[in-house]
Amino acid sequence: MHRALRNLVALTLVLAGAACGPSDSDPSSTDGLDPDLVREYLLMHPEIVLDDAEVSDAIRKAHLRREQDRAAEERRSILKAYTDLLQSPLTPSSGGTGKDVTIIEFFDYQCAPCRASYPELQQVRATEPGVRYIFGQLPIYGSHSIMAARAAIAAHRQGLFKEFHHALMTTDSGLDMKVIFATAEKAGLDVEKLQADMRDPLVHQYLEEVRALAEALDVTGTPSFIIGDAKLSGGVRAGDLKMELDRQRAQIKRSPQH
Amino acid sequence: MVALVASAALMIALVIPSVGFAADPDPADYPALSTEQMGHVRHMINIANQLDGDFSMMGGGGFAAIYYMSFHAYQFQFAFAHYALASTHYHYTPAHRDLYQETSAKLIKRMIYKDVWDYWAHLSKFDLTDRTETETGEVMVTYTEDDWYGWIDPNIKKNIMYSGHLLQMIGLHESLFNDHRYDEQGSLTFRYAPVEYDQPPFEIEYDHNRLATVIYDQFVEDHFRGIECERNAVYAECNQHPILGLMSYDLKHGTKLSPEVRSKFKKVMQKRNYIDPETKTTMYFLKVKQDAVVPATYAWADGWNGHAQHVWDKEYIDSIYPYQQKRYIPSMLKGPPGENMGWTAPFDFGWFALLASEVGDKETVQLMTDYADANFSPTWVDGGLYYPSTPDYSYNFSRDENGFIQNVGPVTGNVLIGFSRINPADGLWHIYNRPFGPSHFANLHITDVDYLEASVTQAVFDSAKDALIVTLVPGPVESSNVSFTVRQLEPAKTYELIKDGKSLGNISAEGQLPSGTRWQDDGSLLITTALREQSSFIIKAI
Repeated sequence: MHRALRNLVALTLVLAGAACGPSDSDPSSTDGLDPDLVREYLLMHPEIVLDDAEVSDAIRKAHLRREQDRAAEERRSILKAYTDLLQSPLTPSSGGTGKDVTIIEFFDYQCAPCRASYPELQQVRATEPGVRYIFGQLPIYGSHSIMAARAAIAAHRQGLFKEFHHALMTTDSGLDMKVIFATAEKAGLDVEKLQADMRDPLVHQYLEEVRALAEALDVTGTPSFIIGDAKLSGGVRAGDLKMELDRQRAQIKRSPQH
Repeated sequence: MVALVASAALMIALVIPSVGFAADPDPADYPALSTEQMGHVRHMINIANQLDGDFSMMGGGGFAAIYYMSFHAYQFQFAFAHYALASTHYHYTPAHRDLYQETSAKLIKRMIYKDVWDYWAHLSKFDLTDRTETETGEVMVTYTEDDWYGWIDPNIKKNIMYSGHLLQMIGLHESLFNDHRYDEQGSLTFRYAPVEYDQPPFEIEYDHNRLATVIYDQFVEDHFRGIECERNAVYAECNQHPILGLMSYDLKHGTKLSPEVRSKFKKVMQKRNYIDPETKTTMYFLKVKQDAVVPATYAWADGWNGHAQHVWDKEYIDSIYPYQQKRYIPSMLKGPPGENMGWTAPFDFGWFALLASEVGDKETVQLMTDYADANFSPTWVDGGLYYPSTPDYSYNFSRDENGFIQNVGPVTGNVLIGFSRINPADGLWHIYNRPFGPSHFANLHITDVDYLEASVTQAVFDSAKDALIVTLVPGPVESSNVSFTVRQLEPAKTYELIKDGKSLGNISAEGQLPSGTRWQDDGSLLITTALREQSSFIIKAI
């Protein structure tokens, strides 16, 4: 009976994980079993699965893996659909050309966890030069956040995004228009041009499109990171990002296109 | 003699404005949003502007507080914010469209986000009217094996507490903005990834026509006794929203669904005394299988049902309102300290205030909004005004040590009190019974006001005076100047631009334009102006 149960477990895992792609279970362990008969048996005795904690847990994990794979696939497809936006001249980016993994950060200049994560990201940028890093403006903390995002895109037009971004991420002052413009001036920006660009409907439209991308990716707050096809929500440490980068690289290596 | 001629000229100008001698329109003669009303409007727009999956400020308390049988649910907050903004646009800013049209679309988009409606996949399994209390006081919900499979589609069957609102929102969007985007197939796509059902993600496609048809067919199938909210429970107030939704649908689609539904609904429900002829109060709900009304005396039920039924049954609601007002006010507002007011306390206030505004009881509205200002911690955030939810609003219903209500739930604090303060007498009645006609959409109006830099407190086109009246106040972001665009000026006409009572010059296709104005490529006029305090603009044909 014990052996039969283990076989059933193995088959159940195979059935549950059928849509999961690569699985940890070993299909060879079902040799000699007729899947139709086992299925029929399981339908008649579902308590075998329900009452066994190990089997239940394995099924739950298989479900989770399938959901993660589905979500990753959906993210890949969304990112592909937004290629033009991600390559727009209005989109600030740094680092590699995209041959390695790409990180998109959705952030708000008034978001405390975004600011706390900033030095961690700087560390990753310094040690992972091949990674393409995209700055996704997602101002969700009110009017001055939106103005800061507009100003950042306007600064990008003057080629000084990196300086302005650093200054806003590290300022001790709460944001208002005086702080935003004083920061811009300190960063070497032409404030009059910056103000004009902040009113440009193209800049407003661009920010709407970034927001649409974030919503399509089911981003519900800041900071959020899209690393390859994975999503991390909330503040991060450099180690978290590196771990995910390694996972993504391993996944790329395993993929048939590689 | 000179005085006599001048006097006669003034008389002629007043009687026949088109002769050109009429006094300039006075902004004070047109409805304008007060500072507080504008604050409520901005708060509701701020909520619409949140990310789809961001429900900050919209209530907490976990799954139970927001989903199951919750009168604070997200869907009600979005829907009533939509109706409040509809009332604002119709009565105060009909000539300021883009902001309200975009916000309407955002609220509809938020409404069809999965977290707002996927409760139905779970709730549709249960008959919550079939409950028993154990000795320990637990409420057990019983269900049969057949009941275990609910409906994931939130519109297809029952759940009128969701689908009815969606229909009303879409109908308002179409009638207020002449925008038919929801007539397109698949324009309302519900996306669901039911991992727990071991199914792949799928989409359910709706549009205005399908939604109206599905709801109308249910009314017919249910013999007009109302569509159930959850299994076995018909609530009168929930069925008012699809009725209003069908009124808008009829208006734009040439159908006559709503007159049939509302007359038959009222007839069927009156037989069951859904509004008790003795107490003049609205039932709690109708148990369908038992065909039995559960009577009640709830301020929220009367307020919720009454404000909407007033749109199509004004005389009747006007006739019973005084009894309801007497029953609830002022005892709702003051009582013994520590008194347990019951589970409806966090939302009774809001829905009854809304009814008071719709029937035009200004005194009660004033009393209630003053009360809210004094007791509900009015809070300004980013230009928006609201009353934050009190801690444990779902469970703690006691009056404070002074005998005042201390429970505010999110639907009351985010939306309903503001709605009551904004909505004028017969506010919703006018929207449905005097809808915008084709001439409205051909009139002068403004667009492209930066929402961060300025609030539009009035924007009205007075067709009798051929004049557009606009008032702006500074927004939450300080700015040296703001701009707005005037659309649909007639090239053959000359207009005078007046700011705060002073003429800035004339506007015509050929002549020199006043300082701060310029024609744009699409024929619209851009006006840029300093805005350090409230300023009014009049653009009138001369």
